[in-house]
Amino acid sequence: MKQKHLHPATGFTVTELLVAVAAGAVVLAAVTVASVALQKSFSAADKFLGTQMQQIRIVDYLSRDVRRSYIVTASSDLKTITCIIPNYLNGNARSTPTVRTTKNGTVVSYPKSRTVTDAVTTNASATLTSGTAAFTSADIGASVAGANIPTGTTIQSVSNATSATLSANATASTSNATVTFGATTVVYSISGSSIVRTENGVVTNIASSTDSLLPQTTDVILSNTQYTTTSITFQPTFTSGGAAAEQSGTTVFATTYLRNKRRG
Amino acid sequence: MRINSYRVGLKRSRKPLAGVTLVETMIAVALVAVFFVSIFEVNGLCLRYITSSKNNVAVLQGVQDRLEQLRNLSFANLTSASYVQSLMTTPANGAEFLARSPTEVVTLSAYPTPNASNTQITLSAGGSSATINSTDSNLATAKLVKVNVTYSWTETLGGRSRSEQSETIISAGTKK
Repeated sequence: MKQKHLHPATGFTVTELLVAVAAGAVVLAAVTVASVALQKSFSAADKFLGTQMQQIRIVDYLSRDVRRSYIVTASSDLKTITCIIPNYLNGNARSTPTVRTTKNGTVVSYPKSRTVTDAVTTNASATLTSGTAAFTSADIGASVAGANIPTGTTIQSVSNATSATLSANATASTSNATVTFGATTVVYSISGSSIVRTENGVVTNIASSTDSLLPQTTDVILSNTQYTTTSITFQPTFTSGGAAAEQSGTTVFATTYLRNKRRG
Repeated sequence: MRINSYRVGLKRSRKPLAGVTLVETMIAVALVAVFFVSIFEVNGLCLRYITSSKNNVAVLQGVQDRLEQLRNLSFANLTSASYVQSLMTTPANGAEFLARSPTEVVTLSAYPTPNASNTQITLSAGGSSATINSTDSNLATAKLVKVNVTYSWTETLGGRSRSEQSETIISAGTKK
């Protein structure tokens, strides 16, 4: 009997070792790749649900402001929305509105803002006249909202109690128009990678679009009411079905009617 | 691994078993496979949750949008089953899921004293025309109407039946 039979070789040959190392490497590589893929997938799922919450938050914010608006306008690219809202609050106290009946219907004015129904504008002119407006120098800078007046217009100067110059020209000639001065202006817009809400110049970031959030709002004016339709999409990290297909699958829709518009 | 486990007397015993047997390897591979399958299954579950969540959000907005539409109808139109029936043929909003999957039921009843049967209108899944199931004869003279909007659908996640509903009371008033 040979010596090696009595003392069996308990180690590995070089070939065995190489094969074992190669097999081990393949297994480790597979484990690493699988781990990375899983991490990415979990992270994408987390982001997706997070962004979905942001979609709902944008819809909530926008709906709240649109409901209480007098006037809502969307820009032509549908990415900026301007809401003209009565001043429901005076400081921290609740405002007491004054209700007047005019020949054009019931008009509700809140403190610091007032609505007139006898405004006269001329096409391509910045002058606005109203017999009941009682303009004073305190009105300079106040917002002006009404038909045929561009969104974001303010009072630039006051000539006398019945005449003021606006920061933008009227887009058509009107008489006996309903115009609101000094109401709260809320603007929704996209700033960089964020959706921001600007109330009387104060900017609040309401959603950050790490996944390219894209809200689009259309204002629809019917004969008796006005509403907005909003769709919010984003670009998810998943791209299995192609970027466009994945993006179209993320759209959230919302419709909101202007409560204040439904008067009469 | 078993080493030094040779037995005297057998032909194989002279040769030590220094490696791993096939059975051991199979068990090890099976364990690793079970581990990975379970992780991938959890991941797949996450993806199905996302689909389920998308559907939920679409339906939630759909219910709100339909109520928003009904609130803004003139009272005469709101209390007319045929008007609401024709309104329902158009989905509440543009969400693809709404047009395809859920069954929509709008129930109108005079408040606080409804007739024995409510006015109920159903739009079945993917349907293009709604059906009036019943009518509340008290609606015509009611000053308040209770409106219920219900969407029900079968979830892709485990085939569970889901529903989302909201209810509100709308009063008669002077609307343009």
